[in-house]
Amino acid sequence: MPVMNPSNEFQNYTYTLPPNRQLLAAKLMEKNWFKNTDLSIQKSILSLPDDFEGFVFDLSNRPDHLGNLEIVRLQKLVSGHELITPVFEVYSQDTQKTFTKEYVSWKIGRYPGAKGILFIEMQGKITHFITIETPKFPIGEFTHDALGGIYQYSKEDIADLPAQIKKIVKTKLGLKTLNIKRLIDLGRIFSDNGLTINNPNIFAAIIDGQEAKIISKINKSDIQREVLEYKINIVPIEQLDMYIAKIDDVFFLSIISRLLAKRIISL
Amino acid sequence: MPNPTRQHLAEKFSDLSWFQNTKPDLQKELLSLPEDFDAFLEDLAGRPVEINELDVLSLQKIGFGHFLIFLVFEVRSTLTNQVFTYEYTSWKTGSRPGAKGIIFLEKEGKVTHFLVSRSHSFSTATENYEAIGGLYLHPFENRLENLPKKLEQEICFHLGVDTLKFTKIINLGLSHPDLGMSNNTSLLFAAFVDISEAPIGIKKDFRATHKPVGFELEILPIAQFKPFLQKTNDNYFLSAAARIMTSQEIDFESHL
Repeated sequence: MPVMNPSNEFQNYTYTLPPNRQLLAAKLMEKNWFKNTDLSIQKSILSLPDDFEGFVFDLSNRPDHLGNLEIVRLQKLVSGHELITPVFEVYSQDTQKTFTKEYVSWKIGRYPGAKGILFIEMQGKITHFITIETPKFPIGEFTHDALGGIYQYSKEDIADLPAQIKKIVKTKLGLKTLNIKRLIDLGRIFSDNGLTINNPNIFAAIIDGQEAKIISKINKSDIQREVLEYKINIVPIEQLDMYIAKIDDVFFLSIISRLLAKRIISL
Repeated sequence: MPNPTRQHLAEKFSDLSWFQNTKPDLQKELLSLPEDFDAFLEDLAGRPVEINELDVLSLQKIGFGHFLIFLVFEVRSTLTNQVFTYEYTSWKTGSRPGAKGIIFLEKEGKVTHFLVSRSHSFSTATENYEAIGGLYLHPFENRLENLPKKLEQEICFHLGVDTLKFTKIINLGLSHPDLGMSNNTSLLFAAFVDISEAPIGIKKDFRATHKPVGFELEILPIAQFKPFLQKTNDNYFLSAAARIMTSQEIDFESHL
């Protein structure tokens, strides 16, 4: 496909951007699909609010070719307060057809956080696991969910996964302190690669029985308000197979799968 | 000419308090979405107006592409009385976009191999190993309804058979791939094909005689199943694996 050269208007526009956006503009201009995109859409990408920086950064890394698919241009961009969907025009070299492809991203980009399961160990053996039940807005139901969530980045946390995970777990469980004996980094997963760019971390955290006693004492009167809507379950490990059948949260199931493969737990 | 489906949906929406509180322009935009968004609208009309301790007040914004749509709602917490927004995304075909699963091959009643698909994902811009499935796929008795033709042909070619027959299909239940972002609810399954009579194996000259179909099929020995769980990043494959390992349908330990 022919490639357009950047217009003077675009060049002049980039001079009005803050330094970080100028860098991203330069990176985006290395991509043919961005050069072929209408000026109004180019501008709307680069003028997204600051908290969309992660999404714009991911976009600047998007190649011109994916397998036998050529990305021709960005056709449309729709955004909410947290989510954003770019719609691309693409050309298949296999079928010689032009069509569109799209995906959804959190504004903070492809690495939004971490999800995990907390296990309780007593005398060297895993005896319980912890699940939470919480209302999930997208499905409009109260349901089981893995522990975790979107990172609230601070400078020191960015490079410190264990600290970030500890912070997430403490917040979710409404604890002031939490001593994690062992943190098992289970890598990253694609949550739904047909729909989203999401590629969060998954983990298992092991705490000892004493820590669990603190969690079991949690009740509505002494925890932070934001965790009032969670129901915390401490479940004997013998019931794990029953929960695998009944919990539909794919993060929970993926964590179990990796733990079984690593022989950290068994059924 | 009035569209009866949309009239029916408009009636359902008009009973919902959040819809009544939504600006007329946005109400109209919602009800004039293209026809292939009907399943999404049906789901939306069936959503509760109260989710645990959250009251859904109004719809603030919608944004849509050709396949996806997202909605931004104004909500109020009945615990804190704070008003804020919540949003999620949906396929235009609604919250039940088909099924994903693992196909196992068995010889004389013993599982010997499993199939994986390797393809470029547009969303993640990476090449991935993933479960087999599709947006319109449904496991039904001992067949996979709406299995994409190119997938079926590819499997048949590799197995050296003319038609694909499943000896057993296990419905592994529902799965929510990303509860924080979307309303997606897909079925998980495990399907079994008897290859006692089939000479399986990837042909070396395969691509010379068959045009690319957008994915590569790989047939892996069952002994590689657990190590593969460290290799694939596909949430669906990992979830179907967790459920099939719990089901005791396959004796994985004997293969290690």
